[in-house]
Amino acid sequence: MSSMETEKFDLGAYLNDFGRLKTEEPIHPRKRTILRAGMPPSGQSAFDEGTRTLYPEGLIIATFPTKIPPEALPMIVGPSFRWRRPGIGHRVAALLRGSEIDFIADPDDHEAAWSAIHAAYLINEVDPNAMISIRAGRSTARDPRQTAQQRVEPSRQIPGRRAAFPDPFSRSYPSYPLYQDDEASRVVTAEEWLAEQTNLDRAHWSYVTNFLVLGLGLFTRICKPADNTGQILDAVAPSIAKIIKNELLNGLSELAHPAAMQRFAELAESTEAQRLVLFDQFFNAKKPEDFRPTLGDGFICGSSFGTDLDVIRRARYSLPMLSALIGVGAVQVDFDRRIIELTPEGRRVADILANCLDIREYQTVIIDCLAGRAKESRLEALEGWIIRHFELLKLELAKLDV
Amino acid sequence: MTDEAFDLEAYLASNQKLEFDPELARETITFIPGDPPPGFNPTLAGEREAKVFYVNAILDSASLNEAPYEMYPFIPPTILRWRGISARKRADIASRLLNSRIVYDETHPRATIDTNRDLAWSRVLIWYLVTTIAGNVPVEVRRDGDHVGTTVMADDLIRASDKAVMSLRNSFMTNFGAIGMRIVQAHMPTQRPDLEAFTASVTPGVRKFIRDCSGWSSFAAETSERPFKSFDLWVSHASWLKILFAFGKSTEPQRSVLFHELTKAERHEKIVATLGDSVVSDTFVHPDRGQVLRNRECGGFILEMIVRGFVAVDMEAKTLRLTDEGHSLIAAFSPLEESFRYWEFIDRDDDTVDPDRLPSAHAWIIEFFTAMKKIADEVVPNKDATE
Repeated sequence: MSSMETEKFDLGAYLNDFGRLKTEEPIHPRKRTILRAGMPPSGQSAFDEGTRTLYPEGLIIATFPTKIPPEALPMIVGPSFRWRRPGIGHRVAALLRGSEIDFIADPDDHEAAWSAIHAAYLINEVDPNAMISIRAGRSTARDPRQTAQQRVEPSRQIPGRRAAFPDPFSRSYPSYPLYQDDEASRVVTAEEWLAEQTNLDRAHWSYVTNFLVLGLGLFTRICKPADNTGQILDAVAPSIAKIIKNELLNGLSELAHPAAMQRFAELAESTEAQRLVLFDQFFNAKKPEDFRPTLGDGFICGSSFGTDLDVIRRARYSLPMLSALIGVGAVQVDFDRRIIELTPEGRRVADILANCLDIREYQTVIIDCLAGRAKESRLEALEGWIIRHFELLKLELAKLDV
Repeated sequence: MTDEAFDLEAYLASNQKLEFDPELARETITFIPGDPPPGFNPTLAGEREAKVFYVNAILDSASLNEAPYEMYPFIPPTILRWRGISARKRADIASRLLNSRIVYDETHPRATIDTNRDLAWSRVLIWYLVTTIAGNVPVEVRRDGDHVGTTVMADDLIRASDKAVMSLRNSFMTNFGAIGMRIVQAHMPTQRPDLEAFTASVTPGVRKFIRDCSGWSSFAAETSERPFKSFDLWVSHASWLKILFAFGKSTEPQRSVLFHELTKAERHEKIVATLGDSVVSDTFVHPDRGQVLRNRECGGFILEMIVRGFVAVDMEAKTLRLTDEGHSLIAAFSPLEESFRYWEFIDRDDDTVDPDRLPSAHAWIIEFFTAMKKIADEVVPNKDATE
């Protein structure tokens, strides 16, 4: 986009309007409304007026402002969502306004932080002064397929893109602390609650937004899409093929998650033995949770680390991320040698990214944060890291033009 | 014409008989792969038409380590043993095998198998059970994808390559049980490690395994004279030595993840380990050979090493490390590491041994354990030889 076009683009107005959840006015008498973490159980609605129970993840979905011109990037953006279904906004707002609101999540829920940002954002949009009682409670059965969908830019995703990810380890992992150590529940305003989560969520939205514009450009300019995807799909288990198919066809969005670039950097540093096992696991996994590769010395049996080695987090989406890297042509499957490795073009991308700060610096802070180990100052510093990372990437893109 | 052709005598004779098919009255005995769930005995209740047995609950590996030490190393025949079931139950199974129609049913709803490797092991067990007791008799086999069972002779239940891998496995375990165990026991700490905190931190399934290990192991100054113990089977398996060597080359991050796995997995079979660059995500890998052997279930072997005191759990640092005894055990075995070729003989895709390579595998066994015996004799001088 030229600078002329940039001038025409009203960035302030665009961002101000972006992600607004527009509602109408009707007011119910004051009653208790319960917001639950996770997605509603199968067959149940995310919006049950009868029991006044809402599942925020089932009502709104993350969205990223990817129309920002590249000239305006890198920049920091806050979280933004849109309604999943048109026309539901006023009914949700009517239920929430004037309600006593409870948010119930299992403190051990691996994805509780993701639910919390949905809930805080939703309530804040309706009434920033609403009081929310955050309580510990057993979450309803979380459908990992549905929660996984919301981790990436929604405009590029297809419903039902993933098979279920039942993870027997999920409860064993520390989660983003919803509660202080000495309290089982607490009361905050929607505005305060959203502010608490701002640093983590600004980092995520900023990274993804910048990557969707700049990072994807790097991959698509250098790499050629894989030409043996049919052979790959024929060779994997049907449940895995379904996941891979979606990523191969629509894989670019999955690359925007910082963990995908972390896997890419780790694969670039992996040993031949690890890549042989990667191939074997990829083509012999019956379920996504069977896929637990080891890449380098930082991603071991499907887990990665925070700053300290005792902060370990299971990466549950490695298989679709690897599929996306294959789809974009950065990683290839060599059936003759039974190995998965970087393509020459992928190696070039990896070398370029290596000049733009190591993504693992960013991810380490995020993992620490999700384990309740990162101080706010480290999260705040991430914004500087993101800007610097994408500035350097932009310089590298400019070199390609030359 | 018609009257002349009709054999009236034969017609009347056949109608005089009360015909029946004795096969239809024969009892059926059915074996299914896997182990019974907790609380079940090897016989499944509630099967009216047939007795159904879990074949894995009937037989187990055998380590022939009670021959005079001077006899080792040697190549034994493939031998399995009863797996702790009563004499009456053995007699019941044997009697039924001799008198019943035999069915091996992998499609049975109560079959419990996790991987193809488990299934292969169950097939070896049923092959051994039937051929040893009933001989080469017909067996009806029902496998996944079969609409109806097919009848095969018992000796054809497994392939020649399965029999070859059994021979290699049995040979290794037999010789390691006699020779390698001397070295292992000579390096074991005299006192049990204190595993109270660690045991409390694991899941009930893993805790049970640790308890079982502790029950089997012995820490007194027992050496090669002590009677056979089933627990030694874990140590005698070639995976144990492979994992011991790999643990010696593991990195700190790998051990941290392993600690995490040990404390979080529901069962020891679910633990996934990476140790150095030869055990990657529970897979034995050798890049030069392009060899990848998946699902090695390293967790049980690691836990066994912890119980024996070769690997210590650092609860504070949340990691594992070799104990002094573990270091010296690896040092003792280290002259053999380069020549530890066991896994070279295993085929990548189906965990078998090419029968044509079995003679060279047997030759390697003799050579390897002759070298190991020299180490064992240095570590634990043979009492008979010294007297």
